[in-house]
Amino acid sequence: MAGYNEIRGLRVKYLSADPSNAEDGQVWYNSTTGNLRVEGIGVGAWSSGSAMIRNTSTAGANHALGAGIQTAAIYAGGYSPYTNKTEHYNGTGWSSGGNMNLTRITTGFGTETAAVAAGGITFPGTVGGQVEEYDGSSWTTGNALGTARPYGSGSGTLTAGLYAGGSPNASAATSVTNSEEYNGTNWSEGNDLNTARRFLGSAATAPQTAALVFGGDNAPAPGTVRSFTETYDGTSWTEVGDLNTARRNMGGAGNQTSALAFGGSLGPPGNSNATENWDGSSWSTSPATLANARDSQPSIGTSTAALFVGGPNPAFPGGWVEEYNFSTSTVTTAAWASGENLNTSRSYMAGMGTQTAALAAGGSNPTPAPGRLFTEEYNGDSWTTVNNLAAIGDNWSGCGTQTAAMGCGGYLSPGVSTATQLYDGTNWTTSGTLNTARYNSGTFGVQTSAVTVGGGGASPVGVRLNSTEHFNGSAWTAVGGTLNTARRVVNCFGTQTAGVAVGGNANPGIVANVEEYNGSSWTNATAYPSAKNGMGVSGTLTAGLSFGGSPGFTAETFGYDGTSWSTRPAMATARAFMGAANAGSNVSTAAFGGYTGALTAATEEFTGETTTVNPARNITTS
Amino acid sequence: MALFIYGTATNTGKGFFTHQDRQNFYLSGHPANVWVIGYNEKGARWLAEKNGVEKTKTEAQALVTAEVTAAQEAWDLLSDEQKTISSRPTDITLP
Repeated sequence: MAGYNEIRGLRVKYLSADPSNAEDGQVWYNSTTGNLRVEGIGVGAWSSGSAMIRNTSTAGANHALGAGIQTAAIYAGGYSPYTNKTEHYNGTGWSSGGNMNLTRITTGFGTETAAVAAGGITFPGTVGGQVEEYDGSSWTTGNALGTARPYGSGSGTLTAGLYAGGSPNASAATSVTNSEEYNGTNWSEGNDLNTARRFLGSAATAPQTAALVFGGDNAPAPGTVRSFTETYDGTSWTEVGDLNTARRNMGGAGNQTSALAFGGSLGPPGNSNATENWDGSSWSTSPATLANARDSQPSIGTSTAALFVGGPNPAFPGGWVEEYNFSTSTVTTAAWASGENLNTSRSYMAGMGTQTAALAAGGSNPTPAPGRLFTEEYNGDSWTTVNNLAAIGDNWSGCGTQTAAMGCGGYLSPGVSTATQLYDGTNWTTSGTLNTARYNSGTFGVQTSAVTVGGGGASPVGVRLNSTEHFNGSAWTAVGGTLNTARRVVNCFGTQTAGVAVGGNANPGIVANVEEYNGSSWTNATAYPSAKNGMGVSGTLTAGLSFGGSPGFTAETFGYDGTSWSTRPAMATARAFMGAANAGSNVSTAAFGGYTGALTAATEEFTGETTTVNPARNITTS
Repeated sequence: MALFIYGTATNTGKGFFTHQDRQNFYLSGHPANVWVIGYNEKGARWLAEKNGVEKTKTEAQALVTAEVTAAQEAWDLLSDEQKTISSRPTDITLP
């Protein structure tokens, strides 16, 4: 057997302290603590992911098709209630894909851009063998399974797939041993499983000729959970080592030589949060557990990077998403955490700056009130009330940093303002007059190179504007570019030559329209996932973030990459018409104040996903 | 099986809920200091540590509705012009 010095080209060093620059896999003896130490041992762990776009009260997240890998997956269909929605996961968030032709429960196989949904139950509860193929954007109908049935397991690719087990009338008593192979056009009957089952898990990325299925249930009704594991070599099925925990409806990942089984139903009653590792011959229980025990999840990913999606228990809004990573680093997923509360609750303020150097200026508390003049500075730990605005700032907008900010327009009750105010970190002064009086326009850029667009006009009050003005630090210039959709309460982020306008209140209502600005003209871009106004925004055209908004009050958060919108973890407190650290980024920003159904002073801080190297560990004999 | 814990707790600001809390359990905040918390051990412990008071869903919904109704009544008294610059608070239904 090769020794350590042959494998690593190093000897085990005798050190009085851990080295500061140890490499992955390096081993040393710490003479102070008396421990043999190693750097970078891989650890498997689950961490929460961004919720799906779907509202699980109207589009279920159980018994859906999952396909692909952790950074390029789809989740399609589902129950209860039945849905035909498809969503894509890019490793960070979810975006909408093309709707299935059928509203259905289903399973299947393939990749994000070449997937197959095979069999299932279509709304309102009809068992079928219908097949649909997905190309990454749209579904087309394929040839049906030879034996119509739901609850089988899928493996392989669009042109070399496998569908095994299931139950023709959806009951455990009628579970079957059938397996069928797909060549991209037709199904052909393969050899049977050794044990008839439904609700089997499968190794998600295993090919047709080296598949692995496990667990499931069969008669007597309502179904006895099983631990059986079988492999397929393209011709026949072979029984191999059983799961340690019998279960059904579990998730699966990996392939025939390295796989995961996770979650699932234990009965009834009860669900499992356990993860098991398959090494090609046997299962071992992993110390990594799901945050909540759940079932009805599809198989997505590899044995080192898997994805859990959905599950009915509990039925979290947006579904529940968790990522499994086996790595020498620990991934901490993005989240909103509470910040310090504003000293004065208010909405419709101008928010500027960053998460650790933010500015909240003016706003309604309620209209009219002293809060319309208040300014507060945030340092990441506390808000401090500083010098008042030079003039009322209410239903206005601004941009810049805590030491170089600007705000413009506003609603004066009565009347609409043309005023502009500048902040130098200490005092506010008036400087420059808008060419068009407006309130709740979208303002972005920096103090000396800003843009304001749209908003509500003065004649009559509330008329939606589409005009654009540029600010150079002292004066405004009306420029030619106009929004394609005039609107107020529009949210903007970016720079004077690369900006984005999101949503807003248009005529006759709130819209999802998104437009991009290049310094001279506005171009329609990918719409926001739903019609909203009054969000908080930050970031750049290719790395933006939008959160909260109205109608109603939402905590939803979405990222923008210059092309499409995808979900991020939601705020805790749903709100609209808040202030935002709009000079922040798509991985570090803050939301403060706003309206939740009542005025709030609450602040939340967003921190994007981080990765940290695991600390060195002792080597033990256990 | 219960899906959520309902309760009231005053948001004390920084540290009231942490990044790790958001990884550990579902959490949504609503008017009247009402919080909806994922039903697991860490969620229950969080409410207790925040000196929260557990409520039934009906009680929590009533607290939220009362605050939203008050806000709606205040909005209804605004002038027509003031109404053009803001939105009437909408009803909130707890999950």
